[in-house]
Amino acid sequence: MTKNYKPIFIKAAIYTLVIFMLGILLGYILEEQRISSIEERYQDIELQWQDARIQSMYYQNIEQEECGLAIKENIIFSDEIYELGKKIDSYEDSNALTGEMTFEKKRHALLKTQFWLNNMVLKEKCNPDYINLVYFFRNEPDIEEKQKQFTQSDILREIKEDYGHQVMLIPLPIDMNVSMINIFIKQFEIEETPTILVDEEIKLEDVQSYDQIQGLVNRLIEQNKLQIDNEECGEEKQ
Amino acid sequence: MEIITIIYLFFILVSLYLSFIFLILFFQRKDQLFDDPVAKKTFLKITTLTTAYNEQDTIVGTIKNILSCNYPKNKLEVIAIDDGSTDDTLKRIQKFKDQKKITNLKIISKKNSGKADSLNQTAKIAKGNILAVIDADSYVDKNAFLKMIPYFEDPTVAAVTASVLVKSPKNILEKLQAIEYTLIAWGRKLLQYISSVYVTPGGLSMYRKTTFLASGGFDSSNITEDIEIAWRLLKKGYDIKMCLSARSFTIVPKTIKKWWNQRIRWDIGGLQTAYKHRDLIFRRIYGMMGMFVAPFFLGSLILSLMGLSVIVYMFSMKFVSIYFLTKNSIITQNNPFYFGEFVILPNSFTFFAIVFLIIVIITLYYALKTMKVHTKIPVISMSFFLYLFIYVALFPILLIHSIYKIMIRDITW
Repeated sequence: MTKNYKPIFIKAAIYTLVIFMLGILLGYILEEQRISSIEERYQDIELQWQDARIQSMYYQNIEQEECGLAIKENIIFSDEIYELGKKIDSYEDSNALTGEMTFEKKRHALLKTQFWLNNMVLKEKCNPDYINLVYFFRNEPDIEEKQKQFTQSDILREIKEDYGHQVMLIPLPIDMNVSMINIFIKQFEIEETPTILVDEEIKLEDVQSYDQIQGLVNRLIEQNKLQIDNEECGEEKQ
Repeated sequence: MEIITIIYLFFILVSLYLSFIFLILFFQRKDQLFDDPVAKKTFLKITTLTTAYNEQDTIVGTIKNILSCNYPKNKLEVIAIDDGSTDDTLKRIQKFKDQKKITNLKIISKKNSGKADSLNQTAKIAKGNILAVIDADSYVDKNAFLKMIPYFEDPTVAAVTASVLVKSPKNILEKLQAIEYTLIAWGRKLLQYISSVYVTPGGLSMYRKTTFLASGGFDSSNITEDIEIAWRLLKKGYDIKMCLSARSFTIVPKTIKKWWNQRIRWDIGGLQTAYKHRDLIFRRIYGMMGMFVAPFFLGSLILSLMGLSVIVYMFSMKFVSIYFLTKNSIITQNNPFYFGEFVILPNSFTFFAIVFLIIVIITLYYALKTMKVHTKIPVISMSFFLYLFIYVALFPILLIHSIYKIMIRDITW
């Protein structure tokens, strides 16, 4: 009896496989395309990054006082990696078949680490008027941590929107096994997430409100201004 | 690939396969759905069996309706069984019989023993070659018997069922059930083409008496005897036909509570049947029953449970997330209604979602369109969308409730 109906079941199986494979193939193509677009973006950014890094090295070694161009390049670079981070997050949420974009995220984390290091150098040499806000988070948090990070990210996003280039927001994952980040974790004793490190000096653990961060940022901006003014006055006196 | 993605893909694969079986069957047979065999032999004698337990409001109407059917009176025996009713059911049928002096109406009054047992007892004394089971709240078409009887000329046919549709749907729940019953009738006809009609509903189903009795009749321990007997007949190698053009209109629950209880009963009965006949899954010797009906039934259960588990998991995670989000938002005085940037990028699941939407709309559209001559249900209506997006979503919840009831052994009619 079953034998007579075989053609129907075979036909249905063929249609199913065709549609199923088509869906999977389409998904793979779309996801690969998104990954490729990130790859291309990386190539551009890495080139830009090399340029910015060489400039920093130049100012570091030549003892040049005027380093406005390096600061400007660094700010542009900061915007680029910030946007790229957002892009990676949205792509990762939509990529169902190719899974987590671990490689891209690690690469991004490395870029951000390099950027932070560069920022530290520029801060020391060029005294720019921005503040480094390094935000330590976990890539694979538990559900409670995830929501804490979500709230904290939202608050930091608002801070970044309101302060623009006065704040350099550098989110770093602590659980992606990036050696340099691990060194920072040890150095700054990062034990929980979310944690915010402000200008490599002030450590804020757990979720911080907008007002708390704003108060701190305003105070540091004021201090920076005073410092810059004092230095300028000193130069004039000399 | 995450485990949840693999579950989704499996779900999609199986659902696609089942959908294509129905679509292929429909497009292959769409012009024959209402074609019935023409009787070559003389009329077979029919005994209609209607069991009533506290059905005083509908029983006389149902019996009147059966008696008014176009079928030779000398070939029609009508039996009304009062299954120990505590209301005026018996009195009303008796009064009707006496007033109208109906000779081919037999009334049997007995102690309450349940529908299945009542039917079994009565089947033994029935004079007809064919037993037509008609629920006390169902009304059959005038020509239903004439259309169904010719199917029995094939000796392998043990039972013939009809389109059981909703009688005068008025409120939204009845309208949704009207769509559902229409789709079930349509789908059952398609399943007939692969010998897989696995329910003989009480609204109107006919059985060859000899086969019925030889098979042991209805299983009185099963609360959906109409599903169980169909499985048993198929298991024994008999065929069950579906006469789409023969209609029976049944009264359906008007309130959510009654509807819910009815569905729980159906689900429990279905699970009881599946468990009883678990030995036939993927057994080639049982033909389509073993190779398709039972795996299809089991597959549908698994898919429903899987779908529900995923939804429950997602909702509980969402619920916990919202709790933490709100807590953190209160602490930090942040906006608790910010849920992140909403970005939708197409992927495989977007494609499959579109494919399914198209398949479901095509299926519903063609099913309702095909049956429109029959049901007068508008193809596209508010009920259509409610059915599509809300009504069907309740089924897995019903299934969970049924499983829970089985686990606590709360299995009552």
